[in-house]
Amino acid sequence: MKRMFALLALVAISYAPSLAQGVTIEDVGIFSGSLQSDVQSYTEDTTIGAPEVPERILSNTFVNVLFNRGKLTLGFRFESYQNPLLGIDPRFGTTGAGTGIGIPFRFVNYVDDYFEVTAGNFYEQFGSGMVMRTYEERNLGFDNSIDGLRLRFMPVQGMKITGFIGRQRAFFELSEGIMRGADLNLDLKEISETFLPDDVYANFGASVVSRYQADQNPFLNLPENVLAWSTRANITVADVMLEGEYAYKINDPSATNGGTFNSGNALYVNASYASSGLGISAAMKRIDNMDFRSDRTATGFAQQVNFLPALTKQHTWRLITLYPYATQPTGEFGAQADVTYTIPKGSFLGEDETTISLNASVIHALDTTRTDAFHYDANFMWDDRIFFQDINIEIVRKFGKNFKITSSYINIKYDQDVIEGRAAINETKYGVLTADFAEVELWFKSGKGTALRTEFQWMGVSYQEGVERDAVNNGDWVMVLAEYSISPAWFFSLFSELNYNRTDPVKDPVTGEVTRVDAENIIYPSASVAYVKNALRVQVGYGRIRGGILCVGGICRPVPASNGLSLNVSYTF
Amino acid sequence: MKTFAFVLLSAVMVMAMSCDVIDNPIENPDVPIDTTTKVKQNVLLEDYTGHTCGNCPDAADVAHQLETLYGSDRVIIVAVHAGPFATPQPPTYPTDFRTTVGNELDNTFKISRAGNPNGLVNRVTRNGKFIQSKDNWAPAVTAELAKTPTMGLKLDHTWNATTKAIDVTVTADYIAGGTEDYYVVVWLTESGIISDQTDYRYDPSHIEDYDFEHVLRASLNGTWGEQLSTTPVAAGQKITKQMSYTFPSGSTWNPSKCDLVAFVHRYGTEKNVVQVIKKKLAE
Amino acid sequence: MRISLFVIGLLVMAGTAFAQETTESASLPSVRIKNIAGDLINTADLGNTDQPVVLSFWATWCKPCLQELQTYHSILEEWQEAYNVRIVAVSIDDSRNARKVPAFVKGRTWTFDVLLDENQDFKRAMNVNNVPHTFIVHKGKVVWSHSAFAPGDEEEIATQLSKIVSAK
Repeated sequence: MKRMFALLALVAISYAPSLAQGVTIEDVGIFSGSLQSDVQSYTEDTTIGAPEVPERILSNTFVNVLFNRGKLTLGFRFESYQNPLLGIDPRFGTTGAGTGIGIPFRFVNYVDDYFEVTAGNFYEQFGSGMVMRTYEERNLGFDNSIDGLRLRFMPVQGMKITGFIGRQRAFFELSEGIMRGADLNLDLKEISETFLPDDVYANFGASVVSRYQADQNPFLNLPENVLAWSTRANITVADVMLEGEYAYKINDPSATNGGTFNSGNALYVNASYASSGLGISAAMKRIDNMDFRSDRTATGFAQQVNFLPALTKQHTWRLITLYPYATQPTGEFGAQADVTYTIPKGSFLGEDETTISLNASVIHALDTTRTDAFHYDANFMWDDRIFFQDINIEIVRKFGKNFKITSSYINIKYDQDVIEGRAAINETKYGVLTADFAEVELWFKSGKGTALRTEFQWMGVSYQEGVERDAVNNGDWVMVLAEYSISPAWFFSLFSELNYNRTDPVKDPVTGEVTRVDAENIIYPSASVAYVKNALRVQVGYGRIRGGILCVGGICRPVPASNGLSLNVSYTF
Repeated sequence: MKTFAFVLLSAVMVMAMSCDVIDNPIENPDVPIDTTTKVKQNVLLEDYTGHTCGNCPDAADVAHQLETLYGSDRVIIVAVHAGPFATPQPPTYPTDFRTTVGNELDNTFKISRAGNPNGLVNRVTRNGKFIQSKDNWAPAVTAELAKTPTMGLKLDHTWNATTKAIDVTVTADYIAGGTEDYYVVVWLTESGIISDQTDYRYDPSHIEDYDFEHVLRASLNGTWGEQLSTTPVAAGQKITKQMSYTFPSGSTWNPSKCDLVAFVHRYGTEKNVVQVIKKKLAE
Repeated sequence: MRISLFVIGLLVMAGTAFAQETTESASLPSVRIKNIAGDLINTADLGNTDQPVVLSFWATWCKPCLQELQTYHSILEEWQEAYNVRIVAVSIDDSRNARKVPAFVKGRTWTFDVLLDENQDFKRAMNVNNVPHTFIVHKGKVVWSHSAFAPGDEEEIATQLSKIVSAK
């Protein structure tokens, strides 16, 4: 069977160079798809903590093929991990046939005006994902699609009823738990255009999701059917939008919540104002024990069914990505505010636009008290303890079409014990660190289609008294980057990070006291070249990459330090 | 419209009924007492751990709970220290519990890359999972113990306290016929070692006098052992293997706290452990 | 089970192929997602007409994407006059950032259409691997597809658009 699909893929690819997207075979349908392959070499580097990799070279490859004929779509994805890259779960290489090769995703879909049927693997989101969201994020090795059946009914325009049942993908196997759920979504504007005034939109929805997993634990009575439901409402009036969502889950003792028999709940409220030149948004989120998986024993990134993203700004500047925040599924209370303002052209600042973005977010712990071995009490309001705090500003100023300056300043407070899961509850081991970050980016474009972008970043980190620090990544940082592009095909980039003011702990053999002594600086140089031809992109890079956390969209995963050559190929046909 | 409303309502009702709210979390396990002397299936529970792994002591406790419930002759625990959490970190975690055997096992099964604590239960794939997280150990061990054994094992040994030499004779008794991929391995483990361990259940989480049990110290005959027979073996046959081992010079292992663990596994094919047995090294 | 599913699918496909000629005109895959105003859009309706559409996938956390959209923002008027082009920017931000997209876009005074592909259904249907990825769609067909964005690529897009305009 695998050979048949490989052949189909080859047929599709061989036709590809002649057409921009998809291959239309007359009277049959359209084939389209994409290929992505990432290969990396690893050299052991004890200075930066890069581990020894016996395989020396690791790779991930994905080939997606879609066939479409009118209302019918068929598709599959072929994956090959030889072995999975570091930072990607190694079970991709050890489950299923154990060869790292397989077709873990395939589906048949039929869509009509009033209904849609999908058999096989599918992705789905109910509301904002608080009880159910299945999606794929390849660069993080994340794919939690459900393999089963999904039905969607649209009896009237604006009303959508979705139902599904199936098992979730678990690497190259299927989960132990069976997931089923239903969702109702009402879009009043679509149902009746005249019911609401012109500039008013209203959406309401409700969902239920439940999991069945047998209880084979001899020591505890575990619930075999776990139910989670949520309701949501979203109202927009002219430039103002207000949205709220509430989710509830019955008792679900699992590996991630320490086996508690408490129920879980989450509340999310969001308001925003958007008019030309000024955008303001504010949000608040309270989560208490809402981690929901298709297998109660799964940990880390495996088997998640819902999506609880961090209520903080997603930063893209390299140095600050050393300390990203990830939602604590056991409980947190967060708030965020965001303002984007563009000072129009011709103002006192000069001829061109200036855009200012301000953002602040803070995440508190919940105020909980343990009542017995399996239950705890949680107050609605937050505890004084702060997990994360972020205040930042970014200013972008253009000067004509050929020059632009971006500058930004970020200040964060980061509770390393809780966020990185490195200490006992309420223990201060790594403490709360404060990071100050500043950067300037200069962008020049010449008239001949070449552009040069340079970034200068600095981050100063300060720690609490007497705490431990990460063995490799501690101290302050400076980074310089230069990227030169030649439209439309070439990108050259060089960058280097310097970690200075590092210290190592030293234990006095007599008194047992631990003090810190200066340690050597570490440099992380790196270079890459990328070539783009229409939908083909090939990038080759070489250098030392610091270990850290990679975040794409709403989720993050730890990636160990590495030293070596990397090759990334991406092609859409 | 009415049909859809009906479908929707029934779906919601079905969902609402699939809802188990538990009032009493604790279940008292019923372990039937089997006094017959026939051969029983034992379980090898490999706990892959490390001294800076803060979540690992909790897993070690789960393993101990199972050992207490079913008996340490039936649930045989081996703690394999390998991966980044087992790396010595002077000055606070100076001990090196890693072994060549442990490193090779960890690299082959890629367990520490999936995280610690994690374990293998008779190296069996259950519900699509080979690597078992600690919450799976209780159901997996219970299921394995209930299986009908296909092999009996006997372990005889001599221990010379002066030269610290061990001579071992392992006898594999084929209750059911076996194939040529049966390999026998004999390991040496030590318990009662006091050293530093991170435990996130306590504040401060650095425990200086943690009691390490069942630590894998060495293999007497290589990581994967030796082949029992190059040809398939019929039921009723017995095959014996002998091997010797001497404590490395300068080692501080305490012989009265050591155990010999012998097991037969299917090497290169199904990987699963067929039978396992444990014996104290010295009194 | 998996094999039979596919055999059935292929048989259906083969069966309908022989049964009739396909009379449907080309169009983009059909996914129903919202724009930032709150209207539900069927992506199959994009680029269905004679008006060329520049379809660009982006995210608020993707710097080259912001560079690209900023470029379109500054030359939009010029392009609309010369080519009567419609720019549709599809945001693949998930629910972490999707709520902030209207404020983000309007706060930067961008006037082109922005769609919210919150669960990346449209991105997958168009086989996009990484953002930025830009397509030019004309009469329901993709006539140009380009990955990544280098400053100066807008010249290439303008060339493609002028080809479409002159071919009419």
